[in-house]
Amino acid sequence: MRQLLFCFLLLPLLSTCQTPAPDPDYVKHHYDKTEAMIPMRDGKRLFTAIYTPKDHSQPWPFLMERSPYSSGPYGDTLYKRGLGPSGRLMRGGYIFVYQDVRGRYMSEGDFEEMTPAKDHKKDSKETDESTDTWDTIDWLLKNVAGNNGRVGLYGISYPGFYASASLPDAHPAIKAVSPQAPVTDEFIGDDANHNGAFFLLDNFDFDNYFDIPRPAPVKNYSGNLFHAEIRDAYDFFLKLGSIKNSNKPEYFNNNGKIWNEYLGNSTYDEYWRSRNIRTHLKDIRPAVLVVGGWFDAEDMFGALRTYEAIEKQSTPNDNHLIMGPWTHGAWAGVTGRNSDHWISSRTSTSVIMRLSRISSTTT
Amino acid sequence: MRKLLFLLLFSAAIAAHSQGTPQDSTWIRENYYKIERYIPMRDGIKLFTTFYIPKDTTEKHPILLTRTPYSCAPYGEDKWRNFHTGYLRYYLREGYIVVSQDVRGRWMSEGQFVDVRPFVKDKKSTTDVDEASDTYDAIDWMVKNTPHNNGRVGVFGISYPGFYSTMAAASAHPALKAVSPQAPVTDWFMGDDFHHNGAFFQMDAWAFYASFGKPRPQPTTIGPSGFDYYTKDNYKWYLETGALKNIMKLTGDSIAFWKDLYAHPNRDAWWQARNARVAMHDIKPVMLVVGGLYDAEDCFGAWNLYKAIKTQSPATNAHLVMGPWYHGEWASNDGTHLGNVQWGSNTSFWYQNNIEIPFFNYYLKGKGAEPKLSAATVFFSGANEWHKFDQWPPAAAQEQSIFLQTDGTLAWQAPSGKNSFSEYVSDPAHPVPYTEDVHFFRTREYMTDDQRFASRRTDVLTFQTPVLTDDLTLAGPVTADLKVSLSSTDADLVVKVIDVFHDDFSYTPTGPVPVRGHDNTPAYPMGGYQMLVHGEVMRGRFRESFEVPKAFTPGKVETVKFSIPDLAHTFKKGHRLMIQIQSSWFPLVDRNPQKFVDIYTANDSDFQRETIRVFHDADHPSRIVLSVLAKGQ
Repeated sequence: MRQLLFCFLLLPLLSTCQTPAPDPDYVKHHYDKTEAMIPMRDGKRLFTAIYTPKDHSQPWPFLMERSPYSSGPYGDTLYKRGLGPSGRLMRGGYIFVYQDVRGRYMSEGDFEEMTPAKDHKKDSKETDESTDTWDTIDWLLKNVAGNNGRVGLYGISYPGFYASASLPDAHPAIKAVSPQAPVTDEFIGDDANHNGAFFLLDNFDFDNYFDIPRPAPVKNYSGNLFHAEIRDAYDFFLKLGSIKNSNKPEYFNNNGKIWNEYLGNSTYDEYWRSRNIRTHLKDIRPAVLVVGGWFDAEDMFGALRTYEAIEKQSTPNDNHLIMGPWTHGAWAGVTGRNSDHWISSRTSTSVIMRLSRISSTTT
Repeated sequence: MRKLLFLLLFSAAIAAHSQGTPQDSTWIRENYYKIERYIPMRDGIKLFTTFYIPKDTTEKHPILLTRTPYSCAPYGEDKWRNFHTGYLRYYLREGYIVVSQDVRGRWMSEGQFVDVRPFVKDKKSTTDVDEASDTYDAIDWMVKNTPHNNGRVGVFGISYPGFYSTMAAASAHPALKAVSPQAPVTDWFMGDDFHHNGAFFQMDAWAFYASFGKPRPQPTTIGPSGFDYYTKDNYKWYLETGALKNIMKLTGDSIAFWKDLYAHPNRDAWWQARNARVAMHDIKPVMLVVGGLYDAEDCFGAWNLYKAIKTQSPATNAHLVMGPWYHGEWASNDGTHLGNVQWGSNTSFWYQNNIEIPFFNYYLKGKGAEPKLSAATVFFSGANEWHKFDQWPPAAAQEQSIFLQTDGTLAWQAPSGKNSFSEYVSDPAHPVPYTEDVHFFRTREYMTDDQRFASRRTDVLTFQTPVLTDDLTLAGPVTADLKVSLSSTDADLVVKVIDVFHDDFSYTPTGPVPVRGHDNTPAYPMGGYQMLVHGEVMRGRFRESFEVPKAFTPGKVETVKFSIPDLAHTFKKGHRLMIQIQSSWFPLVDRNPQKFVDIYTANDSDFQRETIRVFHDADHPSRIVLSVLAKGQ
């Protein structure tokens, strides 16, 4: 009975999130877009798209996603169809920032798989994702008018990693970070390997697209490394045989940098250890909201273990975990099942509270 | 384009004809009346019979009779069958007197029911009754007592009523002119329903007898109740229920025939008396045997009843029709597909209008020209075409062997190597499912199911030809001739003949081939489909004799040779022929304990794993003997 009552109480909440944006050009009508090449401490510049509310009545917080999957569409006149992790946040008053990470799409520099975090020395020109985030925020605070000096980061999957990677030695303006299904340790439990077992099907498919060489900044990666018609995956991979056959001319043909790194590091060696962001999740100051799905085929491990690492290694902390019955990223679907709406709403509420300093008696 | 137009017109015609209309229902009520009568048999027992009779008295009408153990319901002269929903309404429009009779001992008929009651060849007294004599007495009464009948009687029926049709043909009543046994129950030990080559089809048997087999002490209009299962997953239920003796415990001794099944594990005199083929001598009526190539129940009966008539009663005017049908589908409104596999046209509609109705119209009404029915009218799946033959198997079909090879291929040449075999471990605790999905009642569609799930198991052997460069058409019997050695003393061997579709195969005429991924579930992926064309099981202990079972000697290579029902199928150019071999087919077939013990009384502890080797070398060539009608180069 209590459970039933609980459901009824939730109904108003559901109805607010289910309301579709009535205006297909909502973003264009409510935000101004600028694009910037933000310089990093080593001189490389990262492509960044900044959507600022047309409402200048008050200063707004930044909400940023750093991604290897493009911050497009590119061009001052082309707008994203939606902003932020949910429609509710889009209407909530944020300066939304999208950045191509180093070496991807329109950013300069070289991309490195799961950039190893470094212990930072002051005045060093050495970079990692923490310094790139720091340098970006430093620039945003100084160059974007109407900000309230507070920054949040979020991201699902690979962008979840970049959210996590902003946490060590975080810029003091970062107040709230939500790593969602964050890629965390690709040898022990996320994506590429589980306990050292190679996730052939996912890796083969993902790297065929993700591993295309990018010698210079591009707005679009063209196609895939190779064309493989896989209709019956069981049959295809059985016939493929030994994994080294994946580098035959008709497949990777040694053109995949990451693919060869995977194949060349078959034990939990320095390559993989240096990419385990957990070892750096110490003295975390921002509030953290880790989100994951119990039925996420890709990064359930990362969600649980990122939360655990902060709990164990960072005292005190403001660390939270939400795990729902979701596939990879299903909580962010706007047309998903009811539970998705529920959690989107809860997540939103939490982030709003952190970044807008709305006082509330509930958390 | 012309083809498309034809299809459209054809579909429209089907739609118009196959939908029963309220007008039919009204017309039947206005033009027919129903009576119920008890018809006395020679021994005084009376059988309950319903008559639907035309009001029209301007001409005399033929009688079309079905004798059934499944009830001639609904009972009551004011309650009518829904003839208008099916093709039987055409017989009413033609003015047939349509008669149903409860067979002796079932429903409202008097007497004692005996399952597949043995045919008595030389009847010596009025108490020597069988189904043939009951049919004789029924027909005799009908032609004398039914108003405005023309003295000509036809009998037809599907499945068990098919058995009663066979027995009607043996009654030799002169008024009986035409008989159509359809999917006729013919031999319950060799290939119909409850055993195939002596292996017990426990799921069909139990599903049937847990209800059908209950006693009926008095005539009644109320049917027996069913059995209450604790799960809807039949693989789980039969696996957990375990040895056959545990199923017997569920019924006590209440189901007489269930006890009979257990008491006759071999093809003894009791079973031989229950082979309907023994009655097929000197058959006078014209015969139309009908069956389904994909009938999970009585495919054997159709092929083999026809063959028995041709062999034992050569003067009989007998015809065979085999279509791509599940059990009884030819009498339904849709014969376009089975499971995932399409037949290209409404084969049921074609049969009804081109075969059965003209057949009865000519022989019972003298209407129309004599239907020039070929000896055998057979649908070839794969090619999706009807073909007519003046004998079956066709004279042009050549017996040719295809051999299992060391490298997992099939070839028309015998293997040449030495001591070459493939082996697998057959574990009764993890039997090979007969179909991939989870369900309770045995599916009809398993007969064309995709066998890729089985190819992926370690206890299923797979052999296949290279991609065919010409069509390969099979027409006639198939024999598996396997050279095997067992680590124990008994095993079942299941051989499946499979058509492997090419990787680009799709029934979708245009657009991309459906591919499954993530959450989308488009049409079933037909590219690379492994279509079961026919499978058959052999209980190894019967390899030398079905009457006298014999243990295997562990480690010794022995021949297991058995027949698979006839095939009529074209493996199209670009496809492959595949053979799968396995030692369980669960829960379709009960599990062999893999030990030479009586299976019906075996304990759970008797069931054991064993290693089975199938040889493919020069000394022990395993082969499948096919009837090849066309194969190109």
